[in-house]
Amino acid sequence: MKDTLIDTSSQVVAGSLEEAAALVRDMKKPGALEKFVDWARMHSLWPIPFGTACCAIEFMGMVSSQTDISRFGAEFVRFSPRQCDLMIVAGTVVNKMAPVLKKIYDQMAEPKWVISMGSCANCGGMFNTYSVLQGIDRIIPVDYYVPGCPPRPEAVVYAMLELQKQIGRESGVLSSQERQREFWVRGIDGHGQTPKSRILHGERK
Amino acid sequence: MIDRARQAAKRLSAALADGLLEVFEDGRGVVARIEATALHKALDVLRDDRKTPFEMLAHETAIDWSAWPADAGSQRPAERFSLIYNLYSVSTRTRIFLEIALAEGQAAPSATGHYASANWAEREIYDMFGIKFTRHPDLRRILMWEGFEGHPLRKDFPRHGINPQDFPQE
Amino acid sequence: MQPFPRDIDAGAPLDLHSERMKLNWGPSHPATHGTLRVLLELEGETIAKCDTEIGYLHRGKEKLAEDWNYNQCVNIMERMNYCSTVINNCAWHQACEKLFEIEIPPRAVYLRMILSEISRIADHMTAIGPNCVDIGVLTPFWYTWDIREKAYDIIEFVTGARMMSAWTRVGGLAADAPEGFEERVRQFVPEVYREMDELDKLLAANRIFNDRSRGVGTIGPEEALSYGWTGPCLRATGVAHDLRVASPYLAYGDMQFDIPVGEHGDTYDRIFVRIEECRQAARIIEQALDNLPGGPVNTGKRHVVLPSKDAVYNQMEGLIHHFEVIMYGPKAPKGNICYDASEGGNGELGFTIVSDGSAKPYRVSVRSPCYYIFSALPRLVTGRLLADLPAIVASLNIIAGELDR
Repeated sequence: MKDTLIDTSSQVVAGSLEEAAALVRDMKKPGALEKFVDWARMHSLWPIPFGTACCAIEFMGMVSSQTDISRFGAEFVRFSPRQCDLMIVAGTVVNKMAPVLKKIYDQMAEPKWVISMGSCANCGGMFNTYSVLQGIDRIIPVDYYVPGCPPRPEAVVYAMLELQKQIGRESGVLSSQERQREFWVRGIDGHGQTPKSRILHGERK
Repeated sequence: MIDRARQAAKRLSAALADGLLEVFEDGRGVVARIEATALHKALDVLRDDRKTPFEMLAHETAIDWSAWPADAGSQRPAERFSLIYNLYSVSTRTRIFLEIALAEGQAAPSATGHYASANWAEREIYDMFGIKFTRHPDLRRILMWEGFEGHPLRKDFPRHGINPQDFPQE
Repeated sequence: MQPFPRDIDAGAPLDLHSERMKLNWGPSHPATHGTLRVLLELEGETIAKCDTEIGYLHRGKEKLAEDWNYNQCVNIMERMNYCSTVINNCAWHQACEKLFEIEIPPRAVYLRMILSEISRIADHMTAIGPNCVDIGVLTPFWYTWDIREKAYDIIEFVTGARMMSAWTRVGGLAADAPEGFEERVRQFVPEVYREMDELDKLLAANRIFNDRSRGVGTIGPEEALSYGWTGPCLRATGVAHDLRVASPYLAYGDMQFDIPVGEHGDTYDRIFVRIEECRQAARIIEQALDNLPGGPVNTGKRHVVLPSKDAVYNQMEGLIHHFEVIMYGPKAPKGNICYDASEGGNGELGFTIVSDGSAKPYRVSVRSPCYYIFSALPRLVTGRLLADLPAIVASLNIIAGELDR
């Protein structure tokens, strides 16, 4: 899979039918089916915006005409988790909202990816208070973190493009459990700590 | 505008007699400190005042004075909490404040009989400070969830919270 | 087969056992504009009972403000109504300046006013765009977002950030507007007028839009006042109350503008009051640009504002003042309490600040307009159809950051 979006040497636009045709032509080669599946997945990431706060407004900016993520395949922003494969958590997740986030994440069908947009979703942001979840990676696995308060729409598009490249390299049907093996195997301990936060904050009794 | 507020405060003190402790002015405007028992009468008087009818309770809030430094001026009353009522007269563009001092554990009279905006304002004060309101139709937590322990805006509640992994149990 | 025991054609209708349907709307829902939860009891399509639950974006801002100094708190306050952040910046620092008992120079006043009005236009556009999407008409969303992007371009040009500008300081502004600011704003103003005309063309005579918004979510003026409504929602009920006129702050007293007022207090009026307010905001911007004074953008008061670099590098006092303001922040007079309200995008945005003489406020209480507006939702939707609920909620312009703080 090519790493650049538009490979000027062969003049094939990423996500286009010409690319699909090229993949289908090589279908007899080993690993070609996985490549085709990856190609289909990466160019049709339908986001579910779990927008809570200010980042949701920048997300709306991302979806609208000036920065248009439907150019990259994220055509339909559906709010039903059953119909989406990319969850973009845009905004602060407070402790009251955390069970809702986990429920929506669980309701998404495999394969699913998560982009954490903004400082509040990454780590709680500036709100180190009694009510704010200090990072959504305490309850769900995250694939890409986009820093910013709020990040520019172009920054989240960059994250999406990087995610597309990662999907292109996955070669195979990988559920999020397999991808986030460390997260799921070690699990969440009784204090709600993920392995990542254990490394950052130390053991909490 | 401030003149109208001063005159309204005069009419209020005439109506309340003993219920009114003092009237002063500070950065807020005209503030009338009253007894908790005189609140209903004060709201009646102000809402039905003919010259400056106060149609709107713009805001109701509380202050916890327990961490007030000793050398920082004499603003604080002897009791732990102050309830501040921010009344606004839209037709005459006048604002007046009422202040009540409440001790720890003392319940406050509810203003919901006079203004519909008191409903949610008092729910938030209960949630954040633990001050109960008598005869409030629906006194339950509003910003935190039922079952949350503690009242966050009290000065003895730590900013990070007591248990950071506290989630509502459904 | 047994005959049906009762003669169903004669007499009273059958008494079938049925119960109301309980529907949970939110908190993760496209039309909840963030994080609102509405619990409904439905009789068919009619809403029989409605209860709301908020707090899904309660970030503890009032508690956090007790730990940060007055210039840092602006970051907290601007994330309340995150669609019109500059208005929040100006409102917070105006309250601080009242607490500190200082005045800001005229250039800062006019610049704050111009950018506040640009931000107000952005806020109203954020209200109208998604409101139309919730009603079902998708096209105005792209149009309103276009104006928002242009407003963001100007705000980014002046303050450095599209949304979270943190541009004001106690005593004035963080920095003056750069060169080229006036041309850019003068180019922006006719676009606002043009865009409002486009929205009029799209919406005013649209049969379906009218059917879905006229008479929907009506409330009368006395009830609205009792609920504590302010802003465009109150003006849509017929009450001509605007803090920019009632107690003029900044330089609004010198500006000529009208207060648009609705008649029925329904969704249609709320949307069109906002569109008309954008036109009035453009008028204010034009007048403010014509009268924009020169001069400094910060008061010369020591211990509040950073001294000039010349003083910092060449005088000992300048260096010390710089150190104190950076390390501790400006300190308010001991024992001052103040309340100051500005006309935010949704109404009266007020701050009650108590100062104990340190650089951090002792208590900040935010009077958020959305909080009181949303408290009236059960009153607005009970008895209406389920399909009216998203239209009504969106027309109230509930910003969860301001609602929950």
